[in-house]
Amino acid sequence: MVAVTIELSGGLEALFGEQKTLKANVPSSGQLTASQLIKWTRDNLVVERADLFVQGNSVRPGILVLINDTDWELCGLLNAEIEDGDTVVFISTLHGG
Amino acid sequence: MDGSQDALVASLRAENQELIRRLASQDSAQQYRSDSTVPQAGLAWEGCGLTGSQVARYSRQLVLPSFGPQAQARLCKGSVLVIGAGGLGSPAVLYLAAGGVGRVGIVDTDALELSNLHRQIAHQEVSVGKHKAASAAVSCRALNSSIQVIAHEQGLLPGNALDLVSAYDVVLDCSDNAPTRYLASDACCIAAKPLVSGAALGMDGQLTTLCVAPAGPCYRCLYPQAPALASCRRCAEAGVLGVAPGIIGTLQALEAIKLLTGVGQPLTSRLLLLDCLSTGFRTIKLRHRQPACIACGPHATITASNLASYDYRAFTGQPFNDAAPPSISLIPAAQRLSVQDLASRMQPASTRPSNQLQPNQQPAAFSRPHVAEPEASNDSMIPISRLPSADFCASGCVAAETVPIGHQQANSCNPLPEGDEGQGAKGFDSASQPSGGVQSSAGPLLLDVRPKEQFAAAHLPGFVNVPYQGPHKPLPAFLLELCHPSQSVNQAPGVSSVLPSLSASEPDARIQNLELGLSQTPKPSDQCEAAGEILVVCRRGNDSQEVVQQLRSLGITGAMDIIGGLTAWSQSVDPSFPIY
Ligand SMILES: [Zn+2]
Repeated sequence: MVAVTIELSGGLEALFGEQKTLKANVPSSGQLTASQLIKWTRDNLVVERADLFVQGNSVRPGILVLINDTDWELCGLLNAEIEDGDTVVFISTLHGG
Repeated sequence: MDGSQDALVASLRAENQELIRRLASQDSAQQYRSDSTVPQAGLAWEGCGLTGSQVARYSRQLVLPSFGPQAQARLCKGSVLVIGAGGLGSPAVLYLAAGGVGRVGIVDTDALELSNLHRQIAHQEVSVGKHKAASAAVSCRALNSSIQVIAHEQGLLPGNALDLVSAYDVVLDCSDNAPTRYLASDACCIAAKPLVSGAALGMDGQLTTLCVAPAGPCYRCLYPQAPALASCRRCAEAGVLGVAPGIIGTLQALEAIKLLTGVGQPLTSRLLLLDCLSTGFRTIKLRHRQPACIACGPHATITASNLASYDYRAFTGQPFNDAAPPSISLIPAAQRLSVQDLASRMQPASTRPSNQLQPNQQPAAFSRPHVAEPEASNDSMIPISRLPSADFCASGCVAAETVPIGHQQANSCNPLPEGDEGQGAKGFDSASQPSGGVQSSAGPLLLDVRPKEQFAAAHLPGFVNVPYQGPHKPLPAFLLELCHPSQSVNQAPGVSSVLPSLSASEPDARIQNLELGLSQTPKPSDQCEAAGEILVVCRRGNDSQEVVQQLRSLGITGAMDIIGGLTAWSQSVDPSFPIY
């Protein structure tokens, strides 16, 4: 099990039953990748409109993924390793002004 | 005073206010624009290029050790283009003008609406209906007549974007839509101008500075693929707390001032997140410029020569504004009624039997209006003066008519007094509500499918609030009951058509519920016809068509859409019903 804090921002919380922070113990045999975490999150935490969270095997365009406050682009994207105690933030980009 | 006198006084007051303002700005212009205190060579004093009145005016910034006169001089010579004069742009242009930015350009195409004023603080009541760029420019000039303020009323378009951003030192993206955000970023990449990108919605705000050489990312580096329209919420639907864009717009002015003067570190490759609920700020580290980016990478394909012909609408699937969605015609005309038809079917309050409702009571949520009195037959129009007026929300009436269905059924023919607290606070928002027989009686069932906040703000009497939550949410159990009185909807099997990636071996109860509304396609039965007429209204007449389509697919043949929704009601039947 990998203990992960998952946070939602920019309106994504609406897909998670209006929860902004979730603590999760994610089952994992070896190392947990961002890809596995996204799939597990979709299957276990998303309450509605999962199609607005996931597209293909990644997050939907317009969603930024941060691992410990750092863009996952800098951590290996889908292959980024998620470690025990990490915080992963999913942010939906806003357009309103 | 009668209404026409009120209107006259209001209009004279507005005119007076406007004249006073113009006079004041002319006076101040004469006082502060012509600067007779320019240092003369060889005479009393020397500075760093600032005039005497500039030294006096910006003195609190000049004496600031980390800013000082050099930075102020750069500010006074600098220029900023602000794209959007709304919630973000308003505080931004005011602070830029106040702080002495030499030239401020304001881009917008919209006319000011009353519902803008709670957050778009560069505008005044007298400007409602006027052009936002022009209105914000007037405010900036009134604040500081010594700077140049230019209103670009044609908006930012592929054809003019490059010329516009090239004419300024720094650009602020204060827009409200995805196409403009991509266009502003692409133009800034080509023109090599830093772009301060702000956004706010609901209780959230986001801020980052893009296109800062040499390594700062552009908007496309962060979002190479445009988000789906369904992911893009608009202020008009999702709502926005006024200070949320106020805070972000103010920070955009801060970033512009830093970029112009070289003071501090720009917010590049970083994203600031604002959470108004916790008053939390958080800054996260973003990627750098992406080598594969088609706008700012070494092999960029969006260039000065083809920017004007780039199809931003096609790329984003969205228009260059956050205007209301266009009216759709989803269902046949025979399934739609006009607001006049609705008026003729609604029973005026004055003809309700007195034993049903006390004067100050609202009709109960689920009560159907009783058979119309002879003088209010379905064929004759009811005079407007006799129509029930909107239930404007004062206090404590939040979703007063959004009553749990179990309660309604027990009282389906027995109206409840309003304010039955504890019963009225909860909305039915899932298929898990207890189900039971719904009696069919004369008169249509009136459904208002707007979100409960909008319903609570203003609704027509006799309507039940059943918020429509999209095609993926089930209809409330009681509506399904109209068609299937014996079937327990909670046990209906679901089909995972929306989430094909969920394998059949891992069934999910929630998903089954989500599917309920669509996957159930029972055959029409006598019960369906017995359900009678169901009139469905929403804000503009789009969601209501989807609900009618859904109800009819369940065999409820009496479901009818009200064309144009409550907006049309306000325009054609009762202007006192607020358009929002
Ligand atoms: Zn780029």
